[in-house]
Amino acid sequence: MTHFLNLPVFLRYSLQALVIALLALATSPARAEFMGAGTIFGASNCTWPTGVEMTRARYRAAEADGGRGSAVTLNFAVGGVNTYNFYTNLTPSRVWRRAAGRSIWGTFGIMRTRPLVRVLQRQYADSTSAAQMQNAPNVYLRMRIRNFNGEPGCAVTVALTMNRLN
Amino acid sequence: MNGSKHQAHLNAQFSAFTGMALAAGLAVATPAHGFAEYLGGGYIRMSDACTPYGWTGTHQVMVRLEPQGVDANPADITQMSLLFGTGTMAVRLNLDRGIRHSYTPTQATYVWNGPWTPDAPTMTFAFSPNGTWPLAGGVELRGVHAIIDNFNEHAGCSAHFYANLRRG
Repeated sequence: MTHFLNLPVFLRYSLQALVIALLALATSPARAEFMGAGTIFGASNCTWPTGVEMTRARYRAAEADGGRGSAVTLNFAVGGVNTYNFYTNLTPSRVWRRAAGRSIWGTFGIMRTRPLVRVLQRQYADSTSAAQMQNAPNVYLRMRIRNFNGEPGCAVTVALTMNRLN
Repeated sequence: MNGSKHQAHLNAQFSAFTGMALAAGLAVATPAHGFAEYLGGGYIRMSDACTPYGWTGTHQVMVRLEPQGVDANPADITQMSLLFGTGTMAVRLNLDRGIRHSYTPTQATYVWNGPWTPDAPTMTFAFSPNGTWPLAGGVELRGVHAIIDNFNEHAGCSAHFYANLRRG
């Protein structure tokens, strides 16, 4: 019994399991992943960005993906990556959702000040109707992100146009 | 946008964010004063007719647009670049006949290996009335939607293009 409480060993094995799970994810297409690109703008209190930025994006929607939570990954035109993971759906709401944030610029980093995300709009790419994520062929996702890019106090708006992957 | 003094200050204050500070320096490629430029992105979805040419599925694309007639921009030239992960298409269009019209670029340059500028481009853009007209002006183009035929000069290859843009 006690060896199960050996934390380093436990961590090592659970990390192995995680790595295997991630490899499986990489080899089988996600069921509700969207990919596209868009803009980052409306920065306040940010070192970067200062103006309008282009970014590539991926979005995994919790609704159609077996309850593994939602995830948004931004791959900036200037280089660098942010990824935001949520326990919840990204249904538009006034709520500030807590996210786990990670970034890669010079190296991998965990955002120590938790990002907070308000989903402003989630519609179809060419209409203002709310997107039904179970079967939406595409999506326009607009969010306000606080503590963006690991910089406490920095807030931006992100607007993304993405297509469902199959 | 960032003078070197300002940059040094940023580096000192946010030493943990050197990558970000570098990005701030890289991100500054704005048009001359008075010109209107939009930046954004979206995706291009290929039709089955494109498969023989090696194009399938969905492609991420970033977009730069200089719409004609907006502010100091030329009245009869719209410039648009489609930045794919693997190459670039840049076109000049004259969108002088409204949204319900199919436009052939007056000039198109494709950069995959070398630059290629065909004498008479065959690629066409038909913008959807359900989407945002590229010359609409304003601070944001919510959803530009075009059907691109003869994509990349490939006869019969049709693709759907969707993007949202923001004025830079």
